[in-house]
Amino acid sequence: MAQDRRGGYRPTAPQNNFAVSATGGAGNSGKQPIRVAPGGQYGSRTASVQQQKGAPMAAATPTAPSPSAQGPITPTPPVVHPLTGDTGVSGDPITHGAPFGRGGGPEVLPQGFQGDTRKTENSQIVQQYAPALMEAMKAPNVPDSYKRFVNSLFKDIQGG
Amino acid sequence: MDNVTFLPGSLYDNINKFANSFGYDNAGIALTLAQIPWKSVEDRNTFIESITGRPVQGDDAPDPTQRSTSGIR
Repeated sequence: MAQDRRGGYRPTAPQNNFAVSATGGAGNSGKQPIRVAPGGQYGSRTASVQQQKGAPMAAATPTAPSPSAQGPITPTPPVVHPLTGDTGVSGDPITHGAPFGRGGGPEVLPQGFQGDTRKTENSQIVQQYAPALMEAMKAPNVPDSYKRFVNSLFKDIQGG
Repeated sequence: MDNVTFLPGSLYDNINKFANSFGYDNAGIALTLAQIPWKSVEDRNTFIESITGRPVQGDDAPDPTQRSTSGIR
């Protein structure tokens, strides 16, 4: 029967493929299969196979995705301390050492920092901003508190 | 005509509020902070109150009967 060509050895049949476990899980014990590049000199394939059998490559482990695949790496921004928050160093409020606000006044500052330069600053301000400050005094309905402030500035300067 | 010089949030309004809230002796700090372009009057007032721990000063209405003591109007 020439037409009857069924049967025969099937290398791809599951029962003939001993390297694959029917239940899954077995195989190369977590190692990569031996791979040899085609071509090469006579006998080089055998040498390559023997080399790989002696030191098989470890199975590929899942690696972190590359940055390009993930997108640009955004650095973690530093923690921003609120401007009016406590320093957290010694528990002192932010205005500790300042002549206003919570905490101690300038008396708590180290010796070298206790020079009161406010009078000098005020005189510099009056010299620099006097024309503008005076001009605003001419506006209608100037708040009384502003008048008191400007009068106090000039009074300090005139008083020496 | 309304006084635009002291409109809420204007430079001179800031000067008035900061100087009166921080004290006249701290005019340097007050004038520096007054020149900051505050996002809103509320932001400025919140900053002042958080620093001083007191309500914002300088809300006096103009009193035409009061005269300055140093001769400056």
